[in-house]
Amino acid sequence: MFFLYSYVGSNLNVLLLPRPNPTMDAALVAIDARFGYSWPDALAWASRHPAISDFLRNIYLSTQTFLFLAFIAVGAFFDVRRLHKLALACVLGGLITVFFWAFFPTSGACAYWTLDPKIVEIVRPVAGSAYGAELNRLMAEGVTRLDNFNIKGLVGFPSFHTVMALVIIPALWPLKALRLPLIASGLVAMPGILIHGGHNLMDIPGGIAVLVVSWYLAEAVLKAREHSVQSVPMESAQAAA
Amino acid sequence: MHIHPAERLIFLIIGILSVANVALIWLKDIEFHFTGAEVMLATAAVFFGVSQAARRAGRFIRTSNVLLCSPCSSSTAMSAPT
Repeated sequence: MFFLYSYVGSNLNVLLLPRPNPTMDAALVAIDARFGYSWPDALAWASRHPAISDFLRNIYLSTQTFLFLAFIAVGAFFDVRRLHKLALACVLGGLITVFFWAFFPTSGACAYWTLDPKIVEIVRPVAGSAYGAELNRLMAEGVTRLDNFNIKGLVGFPSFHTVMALVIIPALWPLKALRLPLIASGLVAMPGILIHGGHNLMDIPGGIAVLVVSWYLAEAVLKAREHSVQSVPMESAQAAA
Repeated sequence: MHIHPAERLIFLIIGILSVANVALIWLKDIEFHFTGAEVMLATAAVFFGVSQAARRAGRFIRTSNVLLCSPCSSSTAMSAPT
């Protein structure tokens, strides 16, 4: 069901192209600079540490696998309510991300900077400058065909990869033995998202904010739905009396 | 088939987004080719929709006795034919 949602949601994201409003990438790059971060510098560092870069790429590309495993673990160790909460949080997080992007579009650092080809050759970022140029073209022209599924992601801010990488922490938090590994995996995923996802630094706090909102919203929605289901038999019993 | 309210909500969101997708494809005149996976997903969605409609129709028929007259639909008449 969640994968069906992912398919429909990613198609909607593509179909919302082109965006008439200008992207906010320049503003995010300026904010990043105040924190001393720039994507080309991060990739230059990664090019000097290719083994770490390869490790971060593997972690970045495994995010969806980790999420899938988290779904299985939640289903195995907890009740169905927690599984629903995780699924709802992911669905709501995706919706918030896409709708925020629709009004305030961003493509990430990869669409703003042009990297040195030598660095690209060593680091081989998943979303590099060539992909950024393609994002800029899509942002301006949109799509004419919907059979191109080589699009790895369109949204810069907030980072939905951050949501996917970190949502497993609250989902599996009651398992005390897994807390430290979960936090460690979340922390390791962040540099991978920045370097290989071609994101701005600010995209990550944006993703964390979306995660917090969607997690609590999922709980609120579940409570409201459960309350409405419980109140229906009571109302009908009262009517019968 | 029992569907939890949370699952029903996610299916509703998927349905709304699917309608929005179809509307955008039509409005923007976007070329669209069905792949095997999409046909499979569409089949699953139709199967789910039909099974839900059948379930609701069955419940409506059982509770309102629209097809059976009340003596025939009673348990006594069904279990003890004359």
